[in-house]
Amino acid sequence: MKGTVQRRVVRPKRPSYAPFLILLGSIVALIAVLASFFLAFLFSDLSRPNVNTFALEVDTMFQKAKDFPVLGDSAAVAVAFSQTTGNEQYETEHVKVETLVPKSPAASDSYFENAIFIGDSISVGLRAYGVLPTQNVLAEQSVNILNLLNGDPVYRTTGSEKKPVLQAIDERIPNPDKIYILIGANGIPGLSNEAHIKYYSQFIDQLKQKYPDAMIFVESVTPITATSKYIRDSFTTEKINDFNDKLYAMAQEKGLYYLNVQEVLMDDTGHLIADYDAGDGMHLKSNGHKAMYEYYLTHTVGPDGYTDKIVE
Amino acid sequence: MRKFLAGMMCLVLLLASAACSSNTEVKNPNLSDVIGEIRAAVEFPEMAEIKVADLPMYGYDLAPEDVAEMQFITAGSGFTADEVVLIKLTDESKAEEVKKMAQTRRDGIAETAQNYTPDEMEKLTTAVVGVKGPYVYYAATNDNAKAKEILTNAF
Repeated sequence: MKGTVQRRVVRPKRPSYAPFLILLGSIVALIAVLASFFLAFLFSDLSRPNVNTFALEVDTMFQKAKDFPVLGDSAAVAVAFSQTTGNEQYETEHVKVETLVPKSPAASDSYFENAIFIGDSISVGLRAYGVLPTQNVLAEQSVNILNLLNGDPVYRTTGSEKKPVLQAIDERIPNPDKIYILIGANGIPGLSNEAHIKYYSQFIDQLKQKYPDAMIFVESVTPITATSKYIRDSFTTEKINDFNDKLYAMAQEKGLYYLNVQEVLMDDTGHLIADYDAGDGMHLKSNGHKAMYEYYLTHTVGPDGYTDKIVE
Repeated sequence: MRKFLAGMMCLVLLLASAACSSNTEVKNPNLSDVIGEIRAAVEFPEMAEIKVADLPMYGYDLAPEDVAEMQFITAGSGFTADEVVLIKLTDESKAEEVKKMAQTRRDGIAETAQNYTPDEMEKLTTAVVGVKGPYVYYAATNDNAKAKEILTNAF
């Protein structure tokens, strides 16, 4: 082996790129993540509803509602009445209202500030279409006089839980000065008119006992069309009219005010005006509810029991 | 070693891109556009627009501060079951609870409809109720299949 030169090839040590590559990879990944978050934020922000625009739309809706004659302030209501009557000049006579409330100059909507409207599905539209403030309307589908008399939980007030009518009134308008009742359509098919009025009268007694100072207005049951889908032997225009006659007699007997709201919704044949029909021949479109509200405004009684009756 | 590093980098990039794509999947639809699309595609009777403050009257126990955004239309006449409710909640954790409120309201309407307006039952039995993130939606219409398609795409 002597003389043999051992040659060791010493290869230069390759520098380790691992830390550098890991660092580079991490930086690239970090940039990618940040960029993705930024892009996601950018696009989600563009597609998100503009809260300010939404608020503006709501404000505009309220403004439109306020501008609408039926919902506006006193001046607006007066203008609306003036327009619908064509600036008609009329004479009035200051009379004591016995039972039937006559037509009077349009009151301001503040007349209903402390009033409560009790009803069934016919009255649902009064609040749903914003014709009357929700606070002033107790109305749910399928409510009948026995529900009211028996204290069944039928009306919602501040929460989704349903309450008996007297409790619901207390929660909505404690000590109302006016109570309007439009009920009957759900009871007429199943009750004789005599029994129906008896229960109605008993419910009135409950109201009078609890709210002795309130003015109570009972309203005639609204008309149906000649082809209403609800017509059957026990639910006809004739039976509705007979019920209304008996309701009027009860109002006379008990010293209540009778609002014949039926007349503003009825055509020459004694049926619901077709243009107000929501589709089933009984319920009302928003224009029907607005007509009812205008009727309420123009059939008012003062706290002294008098009104300025328009002399026709 | 190189393979390991390359693999790690791929994994990191994959995670980064996944993070990016999962974010873009969260939709924030404009609720008025969604309800507009449904109203254009499905036939409705005259509908009333309900305000946030009146939600409890319709069986939704929610305070105004619970609602970030809402579109709520219902048949104001009181005899048909047509209704569309789109609510964006401020607190996503309440979404399932609000969905139950929608279902309870539907059941209540159905109970009445069975006796008074049985024609409306079809709309109620096939009504669309759903939750996606902070959104709760409900639709009982003449064409629930179409409403469902629009709502599924929107949310």
